[in-house]
Amino acid sequence: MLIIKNIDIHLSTEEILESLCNNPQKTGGKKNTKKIKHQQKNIKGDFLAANIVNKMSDIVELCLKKSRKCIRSKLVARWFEIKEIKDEKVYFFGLNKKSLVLDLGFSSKFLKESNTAFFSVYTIGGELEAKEAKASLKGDYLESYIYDIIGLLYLKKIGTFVNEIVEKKAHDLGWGVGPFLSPGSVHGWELSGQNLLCSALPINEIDVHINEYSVLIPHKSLSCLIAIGSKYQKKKVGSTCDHCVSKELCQMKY
Amino acid sequence: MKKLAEYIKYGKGVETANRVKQLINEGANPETLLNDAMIPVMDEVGALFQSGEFFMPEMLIAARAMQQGMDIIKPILVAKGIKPMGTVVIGTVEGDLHDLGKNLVIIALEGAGFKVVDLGVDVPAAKFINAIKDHNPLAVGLSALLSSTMLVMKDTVAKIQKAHAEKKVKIMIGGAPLNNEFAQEINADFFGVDPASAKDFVRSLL
Repeated sequence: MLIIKNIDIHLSTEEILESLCNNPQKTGGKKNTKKIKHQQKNIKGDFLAANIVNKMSDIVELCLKKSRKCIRSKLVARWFEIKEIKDEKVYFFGLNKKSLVLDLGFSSKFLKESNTAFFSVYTIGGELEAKEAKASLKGDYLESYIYDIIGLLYLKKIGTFVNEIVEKKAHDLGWGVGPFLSPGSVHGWELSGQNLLCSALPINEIDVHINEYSVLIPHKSLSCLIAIGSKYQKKKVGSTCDHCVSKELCQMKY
Repeated sequence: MKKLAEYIKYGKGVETANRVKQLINEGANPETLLNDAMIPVMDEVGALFQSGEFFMPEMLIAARAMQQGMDIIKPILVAKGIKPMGTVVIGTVEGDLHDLGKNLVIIALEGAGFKVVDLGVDVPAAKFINAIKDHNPLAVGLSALLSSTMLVMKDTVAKIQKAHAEKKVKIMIGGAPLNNEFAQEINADFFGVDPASAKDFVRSLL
């Protein structure tokens, strides 16, 4: 069992501004650095647009300063061995040999080459989202949106930290890694599956709970499963986007 | 007025407020400023966002500038006894904490001159029912982003319709997992695929 209650994460103003400039509506979800550079180039000659960027920098910097005081990055995780996969159900057993069955539906196919899976739940705590909600309710949607983006970026960085743990273990064993799977985000594994996944981890240790709608509280928390195995070819954690039914429309696609 | 519209479009809040003050001091009618400059430019901003020309922060900055202008105009309109075009009650259904989509709809509606009563997120059906009673809105907007809270939305719509059976308040819904079929299934009046369509629907109720 792995429990970390203070993950050191650094986030810069520039990273937030880049994320704000990456408009998935415009790009169909694909990262569009060309568009960003193009926009920045245009901005130089456009006083009014430059004014927007200058204004954004100040607000983003202020929001980031306030956010840093209320980020509580925590993680709980555990390795499970994969016993078998049958009828889209994956049978796991942990260190105490207690078995767990997850119905991953279509996404069970991503575990066919696996030997072991890393279950994890991580969070940035609830203080930032309280700030976000407060800003939203007073009608400051810009500030609320920036807090939202900051929270998501912190969460993404913890995700990278999780990926690195998995990739290192796979590397040490001479194995490869599977894709990042999260209930409600991958085809076939419904959000309700989060209840069972979380039941396998002491999420209360990181002050996370799951509500009656299968939503993790604090909201900026995530549960996931990443498998490793001798038959996987990739060395880095991947995504399942290319197999998703919403791949053409999705605004979050990697 | 062209300058005022430009200030809003490019999110220059202080300049917007100053320009509004200046124009009013020069004898401009606040209603004219609202209807001929501020509302049309917010429509334009919405269209630019929709087409991908504007990024989300640009729209939010424009909305903030609009708000700063409205802070000057609103008290004058109230003093003159001029009421908003209509009221819309809006919120994210119980169990769901997502508010970005809802906020974009609020921006579109306020930018179009409507009063919006924002109930926030995780809103139980009873709170919608009471707000409808208190504010007599043209429409009520329900938002949900999770498949699990779509069921809550269905229940909320049924409870609102039961509680306000005589008034038959129009119910519009929005959120990533929703569609027209779901709106019909839960007996909602409208599914808004984006903030602009929600605004157009409310305008059609006038």
